[in-house]
Amino acid sequence: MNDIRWTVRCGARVLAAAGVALLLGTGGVWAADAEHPDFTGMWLGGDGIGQSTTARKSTSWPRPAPLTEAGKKAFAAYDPKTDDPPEDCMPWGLPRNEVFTFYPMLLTRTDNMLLMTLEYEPVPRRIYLDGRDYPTDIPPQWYGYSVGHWEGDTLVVETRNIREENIITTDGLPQSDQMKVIERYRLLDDGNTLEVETTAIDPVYYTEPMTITVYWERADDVEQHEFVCAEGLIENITTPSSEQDKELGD
Amino acid sequence: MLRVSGRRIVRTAAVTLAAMVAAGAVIGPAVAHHSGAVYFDMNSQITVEGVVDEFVFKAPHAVLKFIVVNDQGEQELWRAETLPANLLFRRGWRFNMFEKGEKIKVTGNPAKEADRHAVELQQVVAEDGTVYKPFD
Repeated sequence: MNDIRWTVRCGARVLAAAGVALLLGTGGVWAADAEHPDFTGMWLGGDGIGQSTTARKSTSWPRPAPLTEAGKKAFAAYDPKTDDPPEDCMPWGLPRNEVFTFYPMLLTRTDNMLLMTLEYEPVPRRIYLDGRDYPTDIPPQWYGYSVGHWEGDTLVVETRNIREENIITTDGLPQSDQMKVIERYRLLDDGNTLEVETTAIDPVYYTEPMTITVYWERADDVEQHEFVCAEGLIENITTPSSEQDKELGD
Repeated sequence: MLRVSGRRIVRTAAVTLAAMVAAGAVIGPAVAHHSGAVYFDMNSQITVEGVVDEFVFKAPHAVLKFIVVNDQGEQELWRAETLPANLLFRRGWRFNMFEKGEKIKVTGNPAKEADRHAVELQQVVAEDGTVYKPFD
């Protein structure tokens, strides 16, 4: 009897160990989702400044943007010195994709979500993969609330509940609280390129959906470092010379 | 190497405000936290000589602070703003690459507002002629 228990226990341990190995170590394939492409790892943006050498060039948001009358008003009223949240070290937020690729992106997985760590951002973004409902009792978020599902080898992510005081581009394309964002993630080039096609649907400010496509290149040897924006909130740009000179001799 | 404190500059560095209009050459990329074009005139460049005061290697923008002696013989503190430390690091820059008191020649886009001793950095030339550019 004891022998049987011992055998069962050992067998369970072996199985558990195999499961952990499959989960953590074997070619990056997660047991929880072995039938889908593996997006996990470090990615570098393909726009030169991110230093990737990919031949694939990201697109920009359409210009001129298909603004509604309300959108034109909001765009005209935008002042980059006061209305750009990252100026105060707030997050970029979704869908400011034009800047995401400046910094490396780390994608990791748990069994029910994809975690996106952009070096610039203080917290990871969560993309739930378990088909949950969108909550109605949390306030709007910089990256909204994201739920993804698979369409073949493409991960389709719909994001709602995005903070309306943010902007889509550095020059102030507006976004409303009605905006939804649809992203399509897929691997290209034998898994070495990640394509992210992002569509913003905002009937308040735009007459039609707008799409941008950015490319990321696998960069396993790249490290992310701390990016503490608040630490460097610097006064220099708006400091008159006479004030600035007071620092001399410190 | 010229070693001076902030107060004692032993050699007068010429301030050459040679505004070179680089027509169509808007070089600075729009990097959050903000685009250089908001605060700097990206269509003109100036070159300023001085000595390093401090290299603030931080987010969201690294700042090279340097001391310039103007034509009246007075010291001025200048700031050259550039990419975040994280991006500079991946381009080979390091937090300790400049020494306090090191003589440098800084080229950048001047501040739009009057009476601002600040530039959006385009390049630094060290005394030995080495050229450092934050972006290509």
